[in-house]
Amino acid sequence: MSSDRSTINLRQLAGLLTCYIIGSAIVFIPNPLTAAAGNDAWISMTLAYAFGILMLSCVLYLHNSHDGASIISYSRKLIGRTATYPVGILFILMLFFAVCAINASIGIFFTSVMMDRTPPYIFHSIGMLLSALTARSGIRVMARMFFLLVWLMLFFSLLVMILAIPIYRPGMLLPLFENGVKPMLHGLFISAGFPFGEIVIFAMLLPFVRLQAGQSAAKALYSAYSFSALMLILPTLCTIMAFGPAAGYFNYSLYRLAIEIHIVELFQRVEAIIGIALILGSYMKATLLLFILYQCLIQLFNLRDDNVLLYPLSVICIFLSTTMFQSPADFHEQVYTIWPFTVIVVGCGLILFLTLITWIKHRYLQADRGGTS
Amino acid sequence: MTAEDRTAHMLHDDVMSNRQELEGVLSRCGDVHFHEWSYGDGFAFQAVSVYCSSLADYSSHLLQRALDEIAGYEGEVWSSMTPDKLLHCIQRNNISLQPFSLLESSADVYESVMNGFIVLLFDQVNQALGFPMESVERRPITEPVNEPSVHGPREGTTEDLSLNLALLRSRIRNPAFKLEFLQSGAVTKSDICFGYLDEVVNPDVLAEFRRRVESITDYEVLETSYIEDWIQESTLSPFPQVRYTERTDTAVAAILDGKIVVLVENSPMIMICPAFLVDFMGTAEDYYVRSVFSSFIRMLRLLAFIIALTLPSLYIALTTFHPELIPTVLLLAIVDSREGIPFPAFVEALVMEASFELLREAGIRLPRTVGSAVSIVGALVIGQAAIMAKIASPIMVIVVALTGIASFAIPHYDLAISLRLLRFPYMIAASMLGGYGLMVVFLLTLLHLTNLHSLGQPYLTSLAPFKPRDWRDLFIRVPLKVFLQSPRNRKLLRFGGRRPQP
Repeated sequence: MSSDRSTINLRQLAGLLTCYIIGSAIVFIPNPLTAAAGNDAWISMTLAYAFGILMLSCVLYLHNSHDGASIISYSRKLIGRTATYPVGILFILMLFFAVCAINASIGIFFTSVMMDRTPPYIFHSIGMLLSALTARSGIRVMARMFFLLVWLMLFFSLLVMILAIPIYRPGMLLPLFENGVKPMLHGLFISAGFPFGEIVIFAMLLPFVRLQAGQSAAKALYSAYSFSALMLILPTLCTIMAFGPAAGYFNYSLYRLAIEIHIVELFQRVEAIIGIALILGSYMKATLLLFILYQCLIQLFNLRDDNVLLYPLSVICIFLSTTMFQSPADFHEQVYTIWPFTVIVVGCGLILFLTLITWIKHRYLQADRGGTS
Repeated sequence: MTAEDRTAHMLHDDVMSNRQELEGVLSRCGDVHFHEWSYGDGFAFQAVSVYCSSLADYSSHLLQRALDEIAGYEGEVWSSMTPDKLLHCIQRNNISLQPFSLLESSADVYESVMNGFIVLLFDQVNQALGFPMESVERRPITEPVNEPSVHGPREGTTEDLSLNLALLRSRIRNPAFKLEFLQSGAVTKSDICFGYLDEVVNPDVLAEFRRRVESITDYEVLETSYIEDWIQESTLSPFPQVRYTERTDTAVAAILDGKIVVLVENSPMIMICPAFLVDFMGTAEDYYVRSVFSSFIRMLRLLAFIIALTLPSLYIALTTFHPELIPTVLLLAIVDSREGIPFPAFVEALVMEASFELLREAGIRLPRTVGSAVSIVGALVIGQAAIMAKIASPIMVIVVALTGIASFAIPHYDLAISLRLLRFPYMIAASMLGGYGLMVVFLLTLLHLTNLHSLGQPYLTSLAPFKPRDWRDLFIRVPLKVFLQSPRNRKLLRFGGRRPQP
């Protein structure tokens, strides 16, 4: 055990990536995706995954070319100190939205399907409190804890998908491209933003990893990322096979799937399991995002890393999650229309831009060096 | 006492003034006796022996024989002894004085008296002889009451430190097994001993332990648990951060694992540290029975852990918040049995749990013969009457009883207590927010556990940080052959033995 409590090892980082990508998406994504893309949802998702892999390669390229520095510090180096401030603030605003959206999603889920008489602010504040306490414990505790929880979450989700096998009708997957290619592109847009494109935000956590000699981050992260993608495509396929065209109309399709399970008198009404998976997923992702938000803030403004800011930040997030979304429909629009756009244009755009500059600099410098020597 | 104090209280040549000084210090100690006797030609010279009758046995003839030997080295006999000759004997035969110890100050004398020595003071000799004659009746080695087992050794520890150490040493006959001593407090002066296997114990842990335990030597230590409280990281955590055992085989297994054991004079408990959560799920017997059965028991214990922690809260959450999750027929049965109960499920559970805890506490504190009567009255009469009076539903009684039984099935008492405590916040959370509340408390517990450390090591070691290699001895126990060939602590392989060198 190293004495420094603010670093994690590669396996833990891969675990965190899995938590981050799967997070709440495993419950949330099948529904808007099938609503937009119908039977082609899984194709959109696979393409979005390919887009995500591209972003991950950019992130890793940046990470390697800048000796493991964080986004803020290499963007200072690349585009200058002044230009970093607006970019960083945009990033921080995005993170505020992301934390609050995730946090609010638990409240919206519970008030709409399980506990409709409980006011949503209860879920918002408790969820945020949990996240703040966890984020305060530091990245190592988070990594250790989430490594356990992600298995628990996957176990519960897979359990539902396996128990639902009797109601699957694989014929439902056809026809493909019923309404041309446009719905598929719409689905691609949604899932490229949430959750695959969000990998660019996760890049803030890369500096915390401490690699052993000869270890390469790329392989572990690519595998974790692909595994997460598989875990997201699977429920999408399952819901399409179970509900066919209706999959797009059921909010929280995995939850609906669980309701449909009925195997003898024992395995019925297992939807609570999905509730558990959702709480775990959202909690982990909200915590990671809160931690990243905090890191962005202290790095951008060169503040002291003493965790003091975490609690005020979470209070702001509680208020935002209570006030930001007027209704579930509003939430739906903001999260599945505006958020993917922001992620793709602002987040991925920035990363691509930085990658381009780094690449050009490298080429130019190398050519320069080659010329002088 | 400082060195200066000691020189200020050096023994005088005059035996009577020595005696007076000692009597001053030892006054009103009814069990300390002064015996005057004479020796030499015509009993010309005086001597005084001092001893504490509760600790030392004065009637022994061993002292007489040992005294004869002192004189015998110089060819002297006591009937012709003079103080000069005696001084000569003592000073010349320093080595042959065994088992006597030479005492020079009055502080030495009363320390020796309090340690069960018989101290001999002679006229015109400014030194005293101490003869170890401690004879205190101790409890003999018995079967460990709290950790019985069908297989395996039956020796339990006793209150006698040296006997306990003998039991340990006779199991690890290797110089790498180190035993270090400390002395606590100025009044009780009880010995504290900690042992570990050199090169197997984690040096960081050992250094951390030393750093923490050293400061306790200024205070009075009566029991091993004082040390626990002194060295543990989180005093307010409900979870035990060290493990206790009365079985020397368990202690030895822990030592081979690289743990540190701590023993205190006058306490039979062996403290094992650092302790991790998973350590509390195993017993010594797990390794003495067949591995399939042992794995089955481990799973059962995991189930017991979950039941003991969550069953009442789960019942509250399901009946109050999520009745739709209960299969219809069962739900009807529950609703039927709860008909006419005036309290909500939470209050009902709280009342039953509280009375269960009361009964348990009463049963422990009462004499054994009466204790069984309490449990009969509690379980049969009150339980039955509560159901008849419609204060509690039969299902609630089942839930509470099952929870109680499950907590008895957890092999370590310390962990069982912590679960008993945690059950209440779980119940409160379940009564307020149902399943969501349960999840929140579960996550808080997990967060606390992940944050917790024992001697600088993560408390959830092998779960978080995740160590797949440890899982062969967690919820299942792989055959012993595997363990013996690759022990949990790989440093053990350094000792070689008949195994092929790694």
